Amino acid sequence: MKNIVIWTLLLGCTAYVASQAYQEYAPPDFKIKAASLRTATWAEQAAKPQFICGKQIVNLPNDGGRYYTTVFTPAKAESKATGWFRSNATLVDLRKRTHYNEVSAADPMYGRYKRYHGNTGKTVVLVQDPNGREIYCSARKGLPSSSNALASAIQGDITAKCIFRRWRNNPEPEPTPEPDDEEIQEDDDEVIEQAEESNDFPFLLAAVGLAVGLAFGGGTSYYEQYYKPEA
Amino acid sequence: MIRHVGAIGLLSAALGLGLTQAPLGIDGKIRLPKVAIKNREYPVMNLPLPMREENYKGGSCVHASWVMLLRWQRQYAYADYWRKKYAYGEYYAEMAQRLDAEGIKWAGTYQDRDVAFLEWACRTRRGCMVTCMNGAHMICLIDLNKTHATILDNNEIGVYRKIPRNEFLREWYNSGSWAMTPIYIPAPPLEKKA
Repeated sequence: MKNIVIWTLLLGCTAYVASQAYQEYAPPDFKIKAASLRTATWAEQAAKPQFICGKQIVNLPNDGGRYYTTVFTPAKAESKATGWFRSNATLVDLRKRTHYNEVSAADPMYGRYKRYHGNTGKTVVLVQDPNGREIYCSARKGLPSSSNALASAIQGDITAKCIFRRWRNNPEPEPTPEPDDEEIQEDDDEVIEQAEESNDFPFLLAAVGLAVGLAFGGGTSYYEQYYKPEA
Repeated sequence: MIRHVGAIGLLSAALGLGLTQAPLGIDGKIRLPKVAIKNREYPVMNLPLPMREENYKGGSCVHASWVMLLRWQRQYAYADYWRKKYAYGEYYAEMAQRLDAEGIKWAGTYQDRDVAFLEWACRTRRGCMVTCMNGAHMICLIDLNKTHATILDNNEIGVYRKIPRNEFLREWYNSGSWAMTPIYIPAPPLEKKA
């Protein structure tokens, strides 16, 4: 019996750690589109004024799949939270990997986000997925007291809302997309993103399933060994 | 017995806690799962009305459109500067020269019928300005999908106009297929209400 418990613990932990490790190896979400879009430098145009369309190939950021991190501050002055995003290594990394914005009350865009900051006059940190879905908003529970606590809270909500939500196979009914909002999926990079999304989940499912299955099996055998009435 | 039940309970609790209050990744980074792009705010470039720029000085459609794009990408200082300094008609080469001279990060296409550029601009939520009316006018393309394009005209800033995609592209092709956009961070989206 003791062995079953130990093996359950070991396998469950191994599967979980493997799933974490796999996610870390996933390619970065900032992909450079291969040369297909063009622009011209003035020098090129000046040299060939009759052919204004230049042929200098530029790489454009294919960053449509990035998350958004926004810090709403009541005043223009830098707040404690904006400082954290420049000093705490985890938050600095998050800032670099997402579309990071600081929106103060003096910003003309401030009113657009009233549903998140509620005009409360407090600093609010908001993390959204690429579709704008709210992943973490400090307005609900208040801003954590330290930068490390903020990083942990963000990670906790990402895990709960992105990974568990998929695990439950989207029980919340998704609104039917209108024709307007259909995303153009012709780009190869977008296809890759879809494929990656489907790959990062089964490890967690495996870990949980393994743990539950082994626990059930262990419990059953324990019952049969010690409690099952003899025939 | 109690010891074994306790061990199993502890294991379940540890797994549950580990998955919900997951510690940071192995290298201390916050993990950002890939998300399929769908159900975004419409249009993708949804500039608040007070921030829209109406065509000024009797014909500055290129500059009015550009100012709106700069504001959407939260380059307010550049937008105000541009609004004060530039006006009247504009050509692609002239505009490109001005942008390079002012140090603005931009991308554009001209006479290439490069629809991929328009799709990129909308997919990344930046939007772009595009020519119409045989090249006589410039407007903002604020959304583009498989069936429709949505535009914001600086002569009519109070409304968004939705046009069938083919009709829009035909108009753009006949207008020199000029498109341009700044390359900065777009404003955060709003969650689309169900």
